[in-house]
Amino acid sequence: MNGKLDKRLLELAFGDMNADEAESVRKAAANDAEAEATLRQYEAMKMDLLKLREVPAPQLSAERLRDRILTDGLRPKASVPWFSRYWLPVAASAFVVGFFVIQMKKPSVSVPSLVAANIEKPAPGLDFVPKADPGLKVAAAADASGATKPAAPKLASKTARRPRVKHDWVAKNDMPSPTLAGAMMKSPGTAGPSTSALNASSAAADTAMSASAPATEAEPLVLIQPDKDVDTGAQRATEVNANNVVIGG
Amino acid sequence: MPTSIALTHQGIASRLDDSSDQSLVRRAREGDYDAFEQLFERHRMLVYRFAYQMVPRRDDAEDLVQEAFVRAYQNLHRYRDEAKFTTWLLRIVANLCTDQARMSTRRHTLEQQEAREGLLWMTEGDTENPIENLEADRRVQVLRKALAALPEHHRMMIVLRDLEEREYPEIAQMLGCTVGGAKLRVLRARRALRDRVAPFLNEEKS
Repeated sequence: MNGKLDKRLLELAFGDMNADEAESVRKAAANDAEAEATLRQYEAMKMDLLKLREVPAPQLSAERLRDRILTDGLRPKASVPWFSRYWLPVAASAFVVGFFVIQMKKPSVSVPSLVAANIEKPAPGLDFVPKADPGLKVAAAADASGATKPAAPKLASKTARRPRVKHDWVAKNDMPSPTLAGAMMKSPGTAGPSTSALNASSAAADTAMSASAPATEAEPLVLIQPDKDVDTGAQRATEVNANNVVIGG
Repeated sequence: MPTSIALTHQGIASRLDDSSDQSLVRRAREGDYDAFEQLFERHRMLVYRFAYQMVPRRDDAEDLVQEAFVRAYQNLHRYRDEAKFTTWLLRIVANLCTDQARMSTRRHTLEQQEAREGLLWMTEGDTENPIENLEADRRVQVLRKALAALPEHHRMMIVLRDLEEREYPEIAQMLGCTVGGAKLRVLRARRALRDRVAPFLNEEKS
């Protein structure tokens, strides 16, 4: 007996067929002794199952139910429409997507290759040649693997620092710049300021403060203009006579 | 005269409407607890029969029935009128039975089995032949044990379709599947039951 016939016999025995189908299956089973026996077996099973419907009488009471409901609260629980278990996966997905978006938009840490540069050539229009302090070495920044913090410039030795004496001297004499201080200390007959004494950082400070620097009569001052030259791109400088400069403006 | 007949019909119809499950549910939702008690009185045996077949201990079945009605009351606002109230109720108790089956192993106490068997000896049979009665009782016992030993999802199908004689669309609605799916599940459950019972029936034949 094949599985299909077995299925039909089950449906017939359990009453899942209409009259026409039941008749045709009964005819088919009548020609097959095994199918007929199986059908009888299924019908007996169905009859026995119906006997299982008999259950012992329950001891259910409305009072017991009322007590239980009163214990838990008589009013129906208020629904919380905004909270549902279906929101949990949505919230988790949104969190993951947001995390990746933030990660993708985070700017990459740029690693400067140089934090200071030696100035070897003077800008056009300047009559002095500032030299970088030989003790100051340019330190490479962070390694190529991409550290998050740019490395601070390293000095070759403690002596590479700008001499503090100068600063102290400037501070004591209330001078705005070491360069100006040097210029003031020079005798009127000497030439311009010694360019070797200037380094890159002090030159920058001079640029900012030279306009208000005190000057002697024999020594011209160079005023570096804040705007740049259109053709060369370098900052323009003007040589002025110290006699024409009013200190303290 | 025709007017009075029409009014009478209207009155009967409105009274029937008032006592329908849907109207009782509506009243219970509005805070009328008596309406919910009417629902309880009306359907408690249906729920109890189902629960008893799923957990064949009377006290467990009674606890399940009470829990099912408590949950039904607490979740009345979630009940939609598209389904029958009994379908919704049976779904609640089916979920409870599944939870209980997962949490605890089957507890057949020896005393209860013995008491049941002792009771069967004293019951009157269908026929006047006592041997036939004994044989019928033995078959029912075999079937009951086989049903209790079935996996919970198969047992639920047998109980719903063959004991409670629920229609396939209702079973499908209860289980949240198609009618074809419900039929397939019932067929598998019947085959599983037959496979368990067959050795005993063959022994009887031989």
